[in-house]
Amino acid sequence: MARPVNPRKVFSRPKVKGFIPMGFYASDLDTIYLSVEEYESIRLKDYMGLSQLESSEHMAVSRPTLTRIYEKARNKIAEALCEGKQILIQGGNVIYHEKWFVCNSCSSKFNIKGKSDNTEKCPLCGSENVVLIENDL
Amino acid sequence: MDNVKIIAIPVMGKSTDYKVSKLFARSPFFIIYDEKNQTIQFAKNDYKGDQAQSGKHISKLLVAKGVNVFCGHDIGFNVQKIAEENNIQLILLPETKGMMGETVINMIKKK
Repeated sequence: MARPVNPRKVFSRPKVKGFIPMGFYASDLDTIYLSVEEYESIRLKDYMGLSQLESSEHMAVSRPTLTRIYEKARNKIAEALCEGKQILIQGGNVIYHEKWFVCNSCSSKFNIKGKSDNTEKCPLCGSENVVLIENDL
Repeated sequence: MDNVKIIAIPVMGKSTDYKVSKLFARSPFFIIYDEKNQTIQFAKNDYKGDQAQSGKHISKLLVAKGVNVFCGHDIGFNVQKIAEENNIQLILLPETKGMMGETVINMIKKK
């Protein structure tokens, strides 16, 4: 029996759920599903400019595993760009570094260290109208 | 979190009248606001022009000054890493608004 896959560590949820192509040849019927761990590998390596080793340490995986996740993500994004497919970011075996909330009053986002009972107040405006981001997406 | 919050806000100049900087680590100045005593201090960012690791250096400096909340528009990886190691809370301000330092402080005061 194969060893179960360890969950990958992700800093926070992506800002958007996905991307829709535009233009005559755009197709919103064909969808590429990018997992959250694949998104995180692109964020760490391409956006933050980290090395593969640094990215793998951040995601709590080995460097070869990170390389596989990253290659898969690059291939999916390339396919979506070249064939005009939409990208949906969802799924994946991930755990988050900490809980992130969004305040519906001032639109700020904040994290909570340690245990939380999900009845937090916004540290900026004090509003109780806050939503856990994981549940929101 | 019941402990006293000392909040670092990156601003474009040494006054609360300046806008909040878009990039945390590259900000020229920081407002250090003590929520309990309601005092404001300024910290100059000597690392803003560094080619690399400016986030790491400025975060360590702010931690040494007793800051336990980082508040800004865009907080980079090195700052996030130091925040995680030192149990520091992060607040990401809404991206669309060009907020002034004073606006942020007033929001914290009013709550």
